[in-house]
Amino acid sequence: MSMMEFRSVCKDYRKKTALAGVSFSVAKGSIYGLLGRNGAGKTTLVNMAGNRDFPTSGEVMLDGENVRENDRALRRIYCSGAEELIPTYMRVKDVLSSMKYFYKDMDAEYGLKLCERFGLDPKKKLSQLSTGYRMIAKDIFALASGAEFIFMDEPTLGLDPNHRELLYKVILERFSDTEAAFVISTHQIDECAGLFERCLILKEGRLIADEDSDKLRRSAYVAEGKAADVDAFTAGREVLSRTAVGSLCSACVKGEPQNVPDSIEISQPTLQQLLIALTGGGE
Amino acid sequence: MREFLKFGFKSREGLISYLAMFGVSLCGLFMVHMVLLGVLKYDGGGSETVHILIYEMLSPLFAAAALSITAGRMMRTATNGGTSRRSFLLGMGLLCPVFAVISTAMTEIAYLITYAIFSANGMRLSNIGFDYIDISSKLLLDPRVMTFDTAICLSLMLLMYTLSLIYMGVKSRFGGKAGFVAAGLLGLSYYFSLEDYDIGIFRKLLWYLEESSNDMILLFEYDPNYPLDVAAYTFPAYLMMFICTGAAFFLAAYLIYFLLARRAPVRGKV
Repeated sequence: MSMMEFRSVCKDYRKKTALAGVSFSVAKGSIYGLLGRNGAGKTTLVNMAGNRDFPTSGEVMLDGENVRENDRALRRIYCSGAEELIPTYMRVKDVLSSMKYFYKDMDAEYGLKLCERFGLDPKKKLSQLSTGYRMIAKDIFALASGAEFIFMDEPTLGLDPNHRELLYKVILERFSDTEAAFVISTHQIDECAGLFERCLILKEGRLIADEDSDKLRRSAYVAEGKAADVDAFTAGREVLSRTAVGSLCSACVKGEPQNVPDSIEISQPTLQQLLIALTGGGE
Repeated sequence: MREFLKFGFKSREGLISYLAMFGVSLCGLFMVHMVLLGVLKYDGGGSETVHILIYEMLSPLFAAAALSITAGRMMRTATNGGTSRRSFLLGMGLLCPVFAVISTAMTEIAYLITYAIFSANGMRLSNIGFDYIDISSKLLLDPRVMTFDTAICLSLMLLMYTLSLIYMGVKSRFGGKAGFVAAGLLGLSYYFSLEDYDIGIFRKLLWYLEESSNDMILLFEYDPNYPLDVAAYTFPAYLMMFICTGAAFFLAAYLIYFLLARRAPVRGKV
């Protein structure tokens, strides 16, 4: 099974550390959620994967080969993101054709079919597209690339709910057809939660979770009730976040719920709730 | 690198895009010539040789601008397509001279067309190789003179490409403004070197240009006193001298570009 490994990847800018020793692996045949707050280092990580930027230290490996300046490895990886790397004077269909020079499994026909499904005119130039459609075009390029490892940074940016639903469906279809590894960085966490088999959570440049999505959600619970009851119940337990509204309180607690009093209501957190709890609450 | 070279030569974003941009600028220069022709005719211009070197002086500048734009786009597209910096930069090292040769050929064709139009109107359009000296105008279209002019044009093309390479290299590390400043300073230094000072490599080059042109006239006009064995040697030697001078500057700038862009991150607008 092909695998990409990020080994102690660090990226320092002049005044900021974007990534501080991030290590994880991405296996072909899985969909990963790359989650974290703004500035957590998600885009930097995607840029490292695609050789657009270089790590200060550490390395990104693909089947034992360093991807840095390695054409053979890089042609197996496709990264799409908000940055406009493709010249915007190009027409969508021309981008699909030009990608054939680099990706031998590029499926331009499939790309054109996707354009039809999304209602995107492939004859239009990227500069003529709205923000949402331009993002759709980039998503189509990624899906049609035929790469084995596809990194999609904010693929739903500017997409309406209908298009988002269609995109999730198409990603799943493509995944089942190609078994490529998808790493999706997004803030639409609850919408995408069903896609992710595994979650990678970044906080201030550090990887704080690399777990199976279901296991991650089961690793915590939400206790709700009157503030005094919740505080009494959570005393001595690891509280990830606490939100109070009036006299009511909700706390996300790590571990399994035990000895729950009747005054407390227990539920499973959504992935978004858990992410908020793990990455510093909603403040 | 093979994929990148294919992309550079065959795709719309590579050579075709460069040629389109450069072709448009040549058309612009052609129009300028036509306007000048009209003005000269209006002023009652006679059958004298017209000493304007617009094609030779400006087309390399336009070619350099077209190269900067094309290379910038190609780099981002190729990087998006999983091409390493090394492959891109080595590929550009091969593409640039080819672009320069094609641009030179296009410039010479534009010159010949313009020359024909000027001739039809009773005037002759000079070219750079023989602009410095008093040459019999019938020699302007001598194939050897044209070859000599082409070599100088190619040399200038490569020289102006250095501005693009320095711009792109500095831009990749320090941003677009720094790139403009660096290329501007280099351009200014070229300009001042070409000014009428008695020192500097360009002054030396101009001196060679004049000397070689004089030699060429002796050679082409079959001066009975000109030693034939020297003549046979002189022509290719002068050609090589100009091409190698341009190539040396180009290679130096390319090396700087390579070193600067080698580890620079590739970014696009957000």
